[in-house]
Amino acid sequence: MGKVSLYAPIAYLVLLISSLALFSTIYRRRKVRRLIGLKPWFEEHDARDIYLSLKAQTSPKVPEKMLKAALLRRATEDVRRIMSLQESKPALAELHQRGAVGDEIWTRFLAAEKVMDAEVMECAGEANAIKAGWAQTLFPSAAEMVHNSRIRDRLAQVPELQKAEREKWEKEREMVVSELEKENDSSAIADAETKKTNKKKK
Amino acid sequence: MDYSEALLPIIFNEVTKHVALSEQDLTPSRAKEIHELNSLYRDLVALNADVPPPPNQINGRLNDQVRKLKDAGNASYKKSQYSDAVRMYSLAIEMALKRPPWEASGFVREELSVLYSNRAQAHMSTGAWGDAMVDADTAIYLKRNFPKAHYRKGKCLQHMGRLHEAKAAYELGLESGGADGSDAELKSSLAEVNELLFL
Repeated sequence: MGKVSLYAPIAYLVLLISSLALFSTIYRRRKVRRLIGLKPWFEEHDARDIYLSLKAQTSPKVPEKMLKAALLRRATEDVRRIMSLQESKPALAELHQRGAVGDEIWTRFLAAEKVMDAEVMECAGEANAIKAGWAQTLFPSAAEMVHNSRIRDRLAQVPELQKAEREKWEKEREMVVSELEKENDSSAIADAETKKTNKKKK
Repeated sequence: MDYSEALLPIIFNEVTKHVALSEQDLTPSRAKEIHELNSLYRDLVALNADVPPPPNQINGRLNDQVRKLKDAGNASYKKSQYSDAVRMYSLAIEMALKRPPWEASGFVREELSVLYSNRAQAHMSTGAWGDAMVDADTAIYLKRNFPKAHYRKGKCLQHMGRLHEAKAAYELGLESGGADGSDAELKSSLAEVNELLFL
């Protein structure tokens, strides 16, 4: 039996562990890079950007109620986004499971959920910093704002819809009237002809 | 989180009491957001509290004003002054829409649905079937279990000769699950339409 150096297993272990470590760091780095490169689920959060910009503004100082309004707008957008995530989750999960939706979209969706969790926590923190306990009513208020804005959008269409229906009905009525007149005319002609033939017969 | 990159050069104008953003930073979505923000700011300034109350707290003064306009509309309707009634109901709708946006949307729906349904009836009395149909349909959008609004929508459609749609409206009204005493009218109108359709 040849002499095996004591260093051989140690060298083996070192090699093994370092290659595993190398693989893991590269793998993780790639994963992070892939996540960073992912397109965000939602567009830019304008309401949040505006709130933070107003908060950072020092001269002229922004009135407190303007900051509150901006935070309410931010919470409203948060609610809208959370509602949209909740609405699409079941269908998207099903599609992903069946393979109709790729991993990338699913990862983006899960990332968006995490982002929104953090965003809501932060927004609640801001509300409580402005007024203790406001976070408890901020989101209910924001939810009503989402509903009310949907209602207003629908009601704003009413005059236009009425104009369209009015015109449609006018056209329909004219057509019916002209058709009736035609019918009357042709029946009048028919009447006249029968009278003529009657006269001839006489 | 660090948002310093996202900060916008947004300015509060102390004269107009509005915030504004320079042209180069203005995207369409930001413009819309700023417009909404300025309008919400006005609502908050008009509010007699530092933050909006819980949604179920309803502005009582506005309630009274809406009710007065609605009563005026009803009075005009009873005197057969239908176009006056339409105008009063329209004013009541405008007034109801002045509610601050954080108030309970359920209440807003209820209040507005009655106004649209009444305006539909006033339009019907002047023979404006198209206008009336849209108003009745809007009342239904606001409150689905509203048999009277379904009935009015059906009547308008029937008058415009759209019998299949009228039939659907009456049937929906009977299925809507509401109870405002319109069931008998709905049933007889449905029978009428069925007869016209040779069903």
